[in-house]
Amino acid sequence: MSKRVAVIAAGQSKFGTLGKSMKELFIDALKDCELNTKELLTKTEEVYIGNLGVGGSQLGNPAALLIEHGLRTGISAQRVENACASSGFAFRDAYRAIRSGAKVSIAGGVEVMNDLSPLHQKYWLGVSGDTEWERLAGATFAGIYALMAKRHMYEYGTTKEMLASIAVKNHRNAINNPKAQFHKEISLEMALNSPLVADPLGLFDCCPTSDGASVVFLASEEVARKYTDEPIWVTGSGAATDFLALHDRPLISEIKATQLAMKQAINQAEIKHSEIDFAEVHDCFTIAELLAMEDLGFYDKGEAGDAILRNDTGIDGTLPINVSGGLKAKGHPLGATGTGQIVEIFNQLTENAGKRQLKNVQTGLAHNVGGSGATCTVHILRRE
Amino acid sequence: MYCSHLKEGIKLGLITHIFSNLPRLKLKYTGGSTQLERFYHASYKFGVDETPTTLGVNCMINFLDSINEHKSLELKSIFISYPEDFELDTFLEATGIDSDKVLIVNGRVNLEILWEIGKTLDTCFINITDPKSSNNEIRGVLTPSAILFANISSFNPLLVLDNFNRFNNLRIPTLSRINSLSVEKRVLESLTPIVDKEKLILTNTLNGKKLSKLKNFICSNQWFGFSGDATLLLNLQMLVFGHDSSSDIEKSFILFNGNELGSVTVSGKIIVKNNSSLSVEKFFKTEEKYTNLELKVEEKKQCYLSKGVQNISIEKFLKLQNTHNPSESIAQGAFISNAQYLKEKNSRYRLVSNRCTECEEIIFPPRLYCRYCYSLTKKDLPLPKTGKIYSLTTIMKGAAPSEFVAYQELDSIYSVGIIELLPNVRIISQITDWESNELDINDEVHMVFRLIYCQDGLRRYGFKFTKLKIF
Ligand SMILES: CC(C)(COP(=O)(O)OP(=O)(O)OC[C@H]1O[C@@H](n2cnc3c(N)ncnc32)[C@H](O)[C@@H]1OP(=O)(O)O)[C@@H](O)C(=O)NCCC(=O)NCCS
Ligand SMILES: [Zn+2]
Repeated sequence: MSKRVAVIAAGQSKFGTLGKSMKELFIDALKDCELNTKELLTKTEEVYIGNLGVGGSQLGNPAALLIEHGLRTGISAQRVENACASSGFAFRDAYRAIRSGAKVSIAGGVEVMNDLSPLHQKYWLGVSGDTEWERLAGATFAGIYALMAKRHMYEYGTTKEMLASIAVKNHRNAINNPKAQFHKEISLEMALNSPLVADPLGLFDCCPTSDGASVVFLASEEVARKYTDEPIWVTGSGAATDFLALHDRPLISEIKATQLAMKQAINQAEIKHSEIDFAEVHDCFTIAELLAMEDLGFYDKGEAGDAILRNDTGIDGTLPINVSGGLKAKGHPLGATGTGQIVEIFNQLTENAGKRQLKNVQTGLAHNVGGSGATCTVHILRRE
Repeated sequence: MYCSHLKEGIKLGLITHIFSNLPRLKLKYTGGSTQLERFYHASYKFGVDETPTTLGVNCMINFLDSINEHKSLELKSIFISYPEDFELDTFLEATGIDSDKVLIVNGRVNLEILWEIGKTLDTCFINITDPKSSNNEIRGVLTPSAILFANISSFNPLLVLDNFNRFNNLRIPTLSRINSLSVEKRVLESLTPIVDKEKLILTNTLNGKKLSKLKNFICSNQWFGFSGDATLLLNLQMLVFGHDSSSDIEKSFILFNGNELGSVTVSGKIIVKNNSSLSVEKFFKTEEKYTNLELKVEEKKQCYLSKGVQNISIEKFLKLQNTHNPSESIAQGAFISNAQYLKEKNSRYRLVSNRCTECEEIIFPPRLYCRYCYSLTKKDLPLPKTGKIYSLTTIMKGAAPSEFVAYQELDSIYSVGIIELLPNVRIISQITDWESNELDINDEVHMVFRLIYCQDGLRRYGFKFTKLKIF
């Protein structure tokens, strides 16, 4: 029996401030899939839903709840929680379910963030670090990434302009993504002059808070062949963890878990970096995209900043990154982000990406980070 | 033994007797002494993250550090005069003082009693006055009127008097054992009933030789006759002479001049004269009087008070009081039970790390297993209280986690850094008392004890860092 794992369908709701419940969002994501999901659902054996607790309102059993709203009961379903990397890990679990014999599995994610009061939101965000120390020092997530940014600036001379250029690019990309939260182009000046959130990060260095859901159907080769002539294969899956607290890590100008997860994924896929055509990376803050470019091994440490200024990672560049708009502009509904990235890779590889379709792409990479790098998944997808 | 309601009028002899026979006595005195209140009312920059408890702790820690250098001096008693909400337990935990070994006198005590205690035992006096009880207008002031009478009987060491009313806003940046007592004449006169004048050394009789023995010399504006209206907080002026361990008189000191701070380095002979007509500039410029004096003024560099020394409006002060009122605090936030928190009080209050007995590596914050060799055996090791900023950020207005919102509203922003205490030993912490634009990677910072936030009816204390060692 083949151990190949295929993604045969993928969809997402719009991301943004939607006023919808988690159930509605999940159904939106199911409806967005090109295939007839009703039939696929009856074949599904395992369900993994990434979720950070929707602000505390559905801390228990969200996976069973969502899948029964997709009208399927009687199967194994579970929530996967690894902060912002929840559905990256859900995807890895669904992938491994197929590897261990399941015919169809689901990975998905959902989050509702914008129906919370500001104070509630502030309480709930930023509990994914080492709370006993980081949160007790008054640090937010923006603050934690700001500490990394500041150190990266100190060690490598990275500038605010480099960071702001990432925001400009991702906002520009999102204009062509109807599912994205923001459809507004921003100038470098606007980005540089946006109000500070946590020095040196300004408003435009931050992802927004978002509602949204995403879902991906994975299948064994046998099943996949029945549904599609052009399956998208998962050729590499890597995951790693690290110390949660920045102060416990030897270096904070890198994300070790990214390096380790990438090593596993690329070794498994048996490809070289140069064979990866595009990537969706975890840009919850602009510095995170820059770190990803380096830690995934596309650039040496300290080199990513110049690459950004050269527009290497623009839609016409040598390695387009976050063509979807990324977390920055497409939106970041925490639990839904990991599989949301897979949706974009799937759409690009199946040439369903509309106005932002990249030409001649074979291989795409999804990189999903939890917290400030305590958890990370990297997946490599390839079309036949 | 706990003795409450010790009357002011009690015979000194009796007190002395009690003290010498029952050195572990805990004494509580609930009466008041206006004389004392007047005497020790200091103006103090009261940061939004301070409470009477933090003031007391910081005074005490500093004092303990300084007497550690004098092995012969053993702390035997502490006098603490405090307002209602001084948290004695936290004070003891944060300073590591064993209340069984040290006499702790709580409450307001007549100065004569103080004196008597001081004569008998090596004593640290900490006076913390409740600003509400002050009949002066609120000056943004909570007073750590820190008074140290160490080994008074021999009158060798130190007396720091802060803010006798006429001392006007003297702020005590460092509490240390001073080898001489220097008091201005007017103050001396007010002390007459209790102090034997003969034992005092007046400021203006200090000569170079004696100065060289000074560990730290703290004095108020009036000692040097600085110009300016000393009752105005913004005109606060003070000189602090630090000490270089060499036998030469080579001292660096910081000139506090209201908001106009500069760092001044002086070397050479200094003869200090009490001359009321002398202005700050004149004081330093008349070089013939101060031979071999080299003066270097770095403008506004070491500006500790940049944010703080200004009058806090009554409105803000009341808000501050509310913020520090645990019952007003919001319940939402990252919850770490107080029991859990206090289990780690050694590390959270006093930067005590673990040193692995197998591989000798330092583990901070402490962990169950050694993170390098998995050994379970370890010893406590206090970390240096001075470190370097490894990275930093400023959490801007509106961006604080919910439990910090009330605190942030008072000052609008606060800084968070990663502090490197030893190579590869780092900790995240707030950096307090500084404007963010005055901070940078590699700046030296020192630990202080401060209020972290209030939650679920509790005040949570812990370490923060600040740039200038002031307490
Ligand atoms: C950046 C952040 C603090 C902004 O929150 P805020 O100040 O409350 O922003 P508001 O919701 O009031 O939005 C104000 C305006 O800015 C826009 N905006 C908000 N966040 C934005 C962002 N990240 N980028 C661009 N524009 C943004 C809003 O659309 C709104 O514009 P409008 O007035 O035209 O509608 C918040 O989005 C945030 O916390 N993001 C990080 C989320 C996070 O930590 N995720 C986990 C990462 S690991
Ligand atoms: Zn060890």
